Order: sequence, then structure tokens, then C-alpha cells
Amino acid sequence: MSEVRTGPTEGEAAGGDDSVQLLVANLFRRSAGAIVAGLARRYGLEQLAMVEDAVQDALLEALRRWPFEGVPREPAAWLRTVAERKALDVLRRGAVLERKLAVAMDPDDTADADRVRGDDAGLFDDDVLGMLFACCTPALEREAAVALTLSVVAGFTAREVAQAFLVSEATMAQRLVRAKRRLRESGARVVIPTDAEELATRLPRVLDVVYLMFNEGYDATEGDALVREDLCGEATRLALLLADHPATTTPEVHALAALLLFQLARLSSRTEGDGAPVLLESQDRTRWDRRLIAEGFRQLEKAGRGDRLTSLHLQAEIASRHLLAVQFDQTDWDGLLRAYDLLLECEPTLVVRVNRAVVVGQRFGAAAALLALEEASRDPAASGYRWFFAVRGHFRAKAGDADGGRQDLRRASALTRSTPLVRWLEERHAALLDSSA
Amino acid sequence: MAKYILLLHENPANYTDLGPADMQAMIERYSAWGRSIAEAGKMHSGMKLGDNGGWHMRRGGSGIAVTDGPYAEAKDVVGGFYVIEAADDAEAQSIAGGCPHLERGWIEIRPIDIG
Repeated sequence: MSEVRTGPTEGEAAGGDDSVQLLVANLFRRSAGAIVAGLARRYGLEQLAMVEDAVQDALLEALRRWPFEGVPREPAAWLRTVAERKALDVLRRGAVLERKLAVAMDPDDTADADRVRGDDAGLFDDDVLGMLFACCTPALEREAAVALTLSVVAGFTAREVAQAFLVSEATMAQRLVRAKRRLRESGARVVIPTDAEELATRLPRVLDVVYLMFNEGYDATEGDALVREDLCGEATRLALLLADHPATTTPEVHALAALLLFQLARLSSRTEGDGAPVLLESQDRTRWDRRLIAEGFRQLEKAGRGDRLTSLHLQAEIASRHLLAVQFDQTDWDGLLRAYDLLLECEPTLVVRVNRAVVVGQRFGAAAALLALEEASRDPAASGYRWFFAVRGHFRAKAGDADGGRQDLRRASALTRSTPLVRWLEERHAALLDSSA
Repeated sequence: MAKYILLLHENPANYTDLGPADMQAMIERYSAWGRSIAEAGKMHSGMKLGDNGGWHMRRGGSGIAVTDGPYAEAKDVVGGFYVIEAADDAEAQSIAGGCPHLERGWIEIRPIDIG
């Protein structure tokens, strides 16, 4: 009586064995970014809102269709085709209205939609990178550019971007609306600059934004861990796209790619299940991703072909030295210190000073570290930087100053909004109380 | 084995806040559910219904009256259906209970009367 099939519909079954395809991780985010970029490139940034709606509609159609029909063999191409069709529908409707108004003036006018149909969108990666350059227009501040890139290029929702920036969803939605308006008004185009001089002036901003985007995911200790990982993953992917693209493959881009790959390789070992940080010293080094590390070293090798030693080169070198040590106590502290000294020359910032002090402490002991931190404390930003106090508290306690250590750890936790991190700092604080009792 | 039809009701407005990653995750949950039902030999068929809402036909005093069915703006539309095999009502409910559709919509289960 029953005709049991392996799946819901003839052939293309959602439950059928061979028609079920595991979707590539982040396929929807990446497709959303790439399709928005491609369509915005074709129709211009003034159509960005329409294009974003078309892509959202296409994704929604997949959500409503695929559970019954199964995942198509080429899901990314499916999404692209559907989004293109939806965008064309909107444009045709607009074009028809305009034609009705202008019909007497130019009866032979072809619809916009027909004109653009023959216009090849070009390569996929070119679209994504073109959109990245557009988002990194000098007309936008860095923070706005990062948020916009996450939203438009990387397919993150306002809620997810808001999480990364620790602001409310409503605030982020407003910021994105403003950023998109500025983008439209700036006259930016979805294109990788071809002029060498223009490229040279604009590439640093692009690298800066990709770097910041990575750090939004890497430094945050609250919010959805998966979203943060995706953020780092997408930033790394953009760095690799830039590194592979003939127009943007410079040694500095390779250095950025190497740095992000190295950091990404350690990402999952940096926190425990509850989000509390795990110090480098105690990280399970077998959990580091060997594949990413290997690719990182390939990028680092290419980064070395230039004649300029940039901050990104030094940061990549520092990250690589940590990864080269099989065990924490085998770390090459002298090599690290040399790299930090050079980095401090390039970038005399508080963050570099504090990190360098940690290395000084490992190499020469707590007293030397405190001396190095003394310099760092002259930076006005130090009073608001939680890691300055966390690190100084650690070394003060080590040097026998339990009171000073406690005070610093208290200030560090007061500067921290992340719950797991506060708990972690308070545990260390409590441990200090115990040991001095 | 008896057959049951699962009518998947939804409110289209319940999907407007989903981002790309949410949607992909949801599709993956549907795929996993569909596969597990199919592998147990309990999936008969499933189809998505068109979005235009269809028509209602009624015979009235002046012949057959055709009116438009529920529009996409409606709060409750049947987006699609599955036909499943189940030993009894309880199993049918248990199969439907695992369907990710329940995250955003609701399911109407009707036994198919095959005499």
C-alpha cells in the first residue's frame, strides 16, 4: 500500500541520500556579501538598498524552498541567480514606470534591465574586493568602515555587528544606515583601484579595516563565541583574497594574511568553555590548527620578499615565534624581544608596550617587567586599558607586592564588561588574597 | 503503517529578522531532520506550495465564484507539506515534533484516511 521513497519529492529529495549536500560553512554569509557586491557593482551603490533586499529575499526563498526540494547542487549559484532575478524584477518595474512617463520622448529607449543584462559582472572575488575598497572609502571613519564591511561584504546582520561592537542592535542599525548613506554620497565605486598611485594610498585603509575587523572578534570576550569566530574567519578570508589578487598582492598584504592565520590558528585554545581566557602559558598547543599555521608560514615567506619591514611584518613574526615553540618554556624570548623592540619603533603604542613588558618579564623577571610598565604608565590611555592593570598586577604580585597586585587586578576587572573575564580576574584577585593571608 | 500529512503553517513576518547565518543554520536543521526521517523510511513526500496564495472556489447562486486565496501578507499561510509514514498518531506527533519548522511556525497533522 505504501510507496516509501527515500525522500520527500521525486528525485530531488530533502531527505534523499545523495541530494543532501552539507552546506559549506558560512556559505550564506559569503554568498550574501559576494552577491551584494556583484549587484552593487553592476547597478551602482545608489542601488545598494534595493540590492540588499534582493539578496535577503533570495536567501529567504532558499529557506522556504530547500527544506522541501533539497539543497541544489550548486547552492551559491542558485542564490546568485535568484537574487539577480529579483533585482532585475525591481529594476524592470522601476523602468516600466519611468518609460510610461518618458514614452513620448524616446520610444526606442531600452529598459535598464536589458542594458545591464549583457554586462558581465566579472569575477566573484573582484566583486568582493571591489566592495571592500568601496566600504573603505576615505569618506568613512575606520569604525564605520569596519561595521559596514561586516554588514555588506561579510553578510553579518545588524544584531551580529552590534554584538562585536558591544552596542545595542538599534544603535548599530542606525550607524549602518548612516554609513550606507555616506557611502552612496561619497561617490565611491565598487572597484579595485587600477591606478598604482591610488591603490597605494587606499590599500593601507583596507588593511587597517580588515585588521580591525579581525580584532573585533579576537579581543571581544563576550557575545556569541561562534559569531566572534566567524568574524575572525571572514577577516582572514578577506586578507587571503587580497593576498591572492594580482592587483593587491603586496608583501604587506601577505604579512597581514600571515598574522591573521597565525592568530586564527590559536583562537579556539584561547578561551575555555565558559569564555574565561586561557593564558598562552596554559594553552593546549595540540589544539592549534596546523593547517592554518602552515598556510600562515607560506604567507610569511611571501611577505619577506619586500624591502620594507612594516608593523604587520613584525606582528606576524611575533605570532610565528609563539607558534614555533612546542612548549611554552621553549619560547624564544630573546627573538621575541628583538621583534618587540623593532615594533615599538614602528608603533610606539600602549598595547605594544604592555605586550613587550610581558616578554621582558619572561626573559628578565618581574622587576624588569615593572620597569618596562613604568614607561607604559605614562601613556594617558593606560588608566583605561584593562590589560595594563592585569599585566602590572600579575608582575607586582610576582615581585612580592601583593597589595599593589590586588589593586591592579581590581582596576582591571572594573574596566571589563565581559562577565567571564571579570570572573577570571576576580579569581586571580582572590588567589592573591589567599596567598597573602 | 499509516500516512499523515503535515501542513506547515507560517506567518511570513516571523522570518524577516533572520540573517544569512541564521537562515543557513535553519536549512541545515531541516536537512538533518528530513534525512533522519527518510533514513528511517518514514518520509513519503514533501512539496513547497506557491507563494501567490492560490484561489478559493465556491458554487454560488450565479455559478462558480473564484476568490483569491490567502495573500502572502496573511498572518497564517500553509507554506508547504510533508507526507510521512508512522505506526500511529503518537509516532506522527513525535516526527512532527522534531521538525525545525516549529521554531517559527506551527504544524497541522492530519491522518490520511486510506480505509
